[in-house]
Amino acid sequence: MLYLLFLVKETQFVLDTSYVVEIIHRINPVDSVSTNQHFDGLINYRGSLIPLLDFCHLYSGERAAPQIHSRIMILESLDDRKIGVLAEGVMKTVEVNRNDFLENSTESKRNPYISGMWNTPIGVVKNVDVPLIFHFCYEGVPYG
Amino acid sequence: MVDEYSTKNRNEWVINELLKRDSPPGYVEEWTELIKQGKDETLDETLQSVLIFRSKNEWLALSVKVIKDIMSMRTVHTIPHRMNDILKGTVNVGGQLKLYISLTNVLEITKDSDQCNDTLESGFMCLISLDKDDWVIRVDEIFGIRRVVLSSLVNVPVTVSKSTANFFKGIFHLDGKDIGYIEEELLFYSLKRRACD
Repeated sequence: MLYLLFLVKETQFVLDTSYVVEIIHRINPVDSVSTNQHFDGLINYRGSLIPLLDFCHLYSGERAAPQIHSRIMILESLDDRKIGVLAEGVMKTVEVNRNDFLENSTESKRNPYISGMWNTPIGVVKNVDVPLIFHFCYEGVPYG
Repeated sequence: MVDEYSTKNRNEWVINELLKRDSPPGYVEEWTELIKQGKDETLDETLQSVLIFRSKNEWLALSVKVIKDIMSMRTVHTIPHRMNDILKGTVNVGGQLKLYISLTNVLEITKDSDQCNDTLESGFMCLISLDKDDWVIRVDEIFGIRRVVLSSLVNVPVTVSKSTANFFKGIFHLDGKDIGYIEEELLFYSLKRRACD
């Protein structure tokens, strides 16, 4: 399966590309008031307002750096709801076999949205469970 | 091979370092305005990005969706008892052997110009892929990637469309060149059938 690779500082993550609608440059939120610390507010994505989750803040507690390589991944769930996920270094895709992801109970207890880890010659890559991210955004289940 | 990989890694590192700069002033604001405006869906349907290249004396175009890699010319390894007019051998691409085919023979392009140079030192190899079918073709010259309006395609001349080697969606005109836009699905279907005969 094809996965999109991105970074939080030096930690590598992937998510299933079938949820990805578009990858856009970092944009300013129209409303930065948010009830949750991990959100940057709402962004105007092609005429509709969607929540913007700062994945760097969700994982590390630090906001995504305002650098050129920061991108917003627009994700769409099976029931047509969209969210924007802000991350760093969103630059390439990788082919990964789903069975290559190994479960790690320590990681999944600390970060429930990580559904497995893939050990590669260039380091460990963590798989993001996109349905759980949607659940978090729309149902407000707290993480971290 | 080692050199190729180390160059690739070095290039990736350079790109990463280049992008780890702070956004210039106005950069985020400019993108905020652009994304707010929405996308013209009708434009997207009629525009196609294509790679334009020359094979012998013909200018051709293939959708960028099927272009996986463009590389310098490399050694073609023959396959005993399995080669024909279409299948010419195998080529090492990133450690994997890919089938090398003659696009000019598939399209029945004949050499009739002095600008052609058939030596293996010139030109490029191009890895094309559709639904996990990978083929390597040779191109003599690459013009670049352009966006083509589908409605601007004109029909293929009847002398070509009636031939057995009609793989074209249509022809478009660019920079004084008549460029044949190859129907990729038809090409891959034909390759699968004919290369393995």
